[in-house]
Amino acid sequence: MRKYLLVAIFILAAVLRLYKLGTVPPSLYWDEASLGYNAYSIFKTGQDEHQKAMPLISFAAYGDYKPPGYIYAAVPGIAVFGLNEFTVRFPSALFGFLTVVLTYFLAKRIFGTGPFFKFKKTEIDVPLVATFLLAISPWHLQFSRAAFEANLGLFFSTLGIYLFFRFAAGKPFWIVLSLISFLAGMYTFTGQRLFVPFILAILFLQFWRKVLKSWRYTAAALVIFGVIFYPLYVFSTQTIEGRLRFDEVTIFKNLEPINKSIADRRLDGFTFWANMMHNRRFYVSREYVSHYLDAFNPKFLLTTGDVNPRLSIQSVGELYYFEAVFVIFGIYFLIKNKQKYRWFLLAWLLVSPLGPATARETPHALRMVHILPTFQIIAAFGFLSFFEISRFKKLLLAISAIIVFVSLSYYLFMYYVHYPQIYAGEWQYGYKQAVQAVSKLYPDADQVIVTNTLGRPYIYFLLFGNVDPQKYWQSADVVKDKFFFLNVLGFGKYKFVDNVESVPVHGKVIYVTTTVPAGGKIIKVIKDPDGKVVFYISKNNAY
Amino acid sequence: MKFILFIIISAFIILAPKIGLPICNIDTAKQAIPPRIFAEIAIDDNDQNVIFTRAIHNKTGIFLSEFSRCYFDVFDFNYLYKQLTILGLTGLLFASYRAIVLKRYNLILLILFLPLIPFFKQPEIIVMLVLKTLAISGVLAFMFLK
Repeated sequence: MRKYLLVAIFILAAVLRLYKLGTVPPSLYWDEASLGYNAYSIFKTGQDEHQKAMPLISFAAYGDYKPPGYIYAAVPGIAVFGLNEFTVRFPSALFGFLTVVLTYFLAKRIFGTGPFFKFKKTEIDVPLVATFLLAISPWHLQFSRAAFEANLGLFFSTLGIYLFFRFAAGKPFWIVLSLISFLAGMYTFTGQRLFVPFILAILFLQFWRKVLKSWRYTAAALVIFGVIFYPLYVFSTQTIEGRLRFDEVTIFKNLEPINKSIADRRLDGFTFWANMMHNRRFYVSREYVSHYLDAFNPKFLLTTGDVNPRLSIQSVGELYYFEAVFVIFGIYFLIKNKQKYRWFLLAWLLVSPLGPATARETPHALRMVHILPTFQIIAAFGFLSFFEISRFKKLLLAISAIIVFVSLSYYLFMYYVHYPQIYAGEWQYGYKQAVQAVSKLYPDADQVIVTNTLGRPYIYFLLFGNVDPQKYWQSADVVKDKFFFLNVLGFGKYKFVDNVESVPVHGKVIYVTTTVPAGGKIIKVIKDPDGKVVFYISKNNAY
Repeated sequence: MKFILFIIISAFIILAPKIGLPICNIDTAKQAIPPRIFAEIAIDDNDQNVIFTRAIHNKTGIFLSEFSRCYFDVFDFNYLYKQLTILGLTGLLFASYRAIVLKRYNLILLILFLPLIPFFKQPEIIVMLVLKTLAISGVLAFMFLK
């Protein structure tokens, strides 16, 4: 019976991750499109969109230098099923599902035969409940249903932790695999680069006796880790491209605290005590702590989720309310019962936001997704521990089942019915329809002028037009701007411009714009699911 | 020495600047109901079952959702950190933990009902005073209890 229940949870996890994967969220947003087209380019030519052969450290893409992991993971799906929304998102859904499976085995390692209850002769324990909670988690579902590198990164870091536990259980070789898995995470998502060192430190502290006992394997694993990590380290710390994006988002490049410190010191006449009290390091530290604490903001966790609608559906938090209650119980029982791995679990929870807190936008569900599945594991433990001491077990079970059912139903309704309508624009909805409309007119046109207003149009014309990379390279007009971003100004008959009116035109011209250009005759209006106009497809008089 | 340290920490907690809560109370929660209910119902299909629509988008549900936003404003760690300093926040967490361990249900209820004060438009200063007292008690317990 227990096996069937576990399989049922796995099926539920798979269904929730795969159902309408290509259509909800309603479109590919530009990073997804870039990942997809680069994977397609690798499959077709062995080179990325900028003709670099098999990049191992990063893909230039828009000049944001994406880690390679997701792109390579997408290649097999695209090779078999072609380039479309489903295949671009499939690796995320697949690895999301695998993370759910992994959570079961990890929770089993952590809790063994921990608290459980019997329901019709079936043992319901922490691994089972934690797996179920992750399977239905709004936070995890959001990232498993779009091409987010972070989701793959989460799988690799969770696998790394699981393999480390295997190592600690007396299989020394597993430490090598564990560190390789962590490396895979770092080569898949930039956020992992600020998480892996912390979680490794915690694992080494938790299992320091085992680490010392198997020092030969540990040393070998560290050497392998160092060798594979070195090129990434050099790229991230010693190249402008590698540092640029970090510098762009970090609070440590923000001059505001320093200006505030100077202003306060000036106010106090730059005395010794003023310099001590208004030291800029205090100001920066205070800001960092504030960003760190944002990670545990109840509004973010429970009511609205991440402020970015791509990262949360806005009507439900990152966790369900009932989960939060049991997380609190879980933390209490972990400490009270002196559970063996209590400090490890709590440390995992607490170090996860350390890296993301260096960024300006906090709390950030994507950058701290590696905090999963700690909440679910702790909540499962909290629920079962509470259940153990509860007097009204049947009542508690019945109420819990109803609350879970209502919460999940509400979330799914809002996700599938409301979310695609309200936030279609956040997913750059309309490009696919525009490409389809233009494709029919393209052979007869002399120029196709597309506005840059909605951002990165070229990638959508490449992706949805299934443009062969080799054909694209023949006419691609790419420039690098002062911020090192790579802008595609045009290819073939396409011109991507900021101001449509300023482009010299010749012959038959098709426009893809957000307002109708002077003298343009509308051919088609593309609207989002909410009825708002996204694009006007129009033509000039010569057409 | 311990005592002097406690005095200094307490002074920091007491002197930490007063931070206002966002405007969120019973009035704002009530005001949010009509526009939200209209916006949500407008998105649903026309042929959707009325009972289902009312079950998903009803006044009580929206009011509770707005209430929860107001409620959690008081437990925002950033608000607590700015109101109490990092040591005060640690003290508050420790005091809450001790209250649970020692089964001081009156104290637990006080903490849980604290956000109702600003929600029902009572002076925010009460919240601030209670939080500071709890934080200092937590620091005291942390430093002097074995």
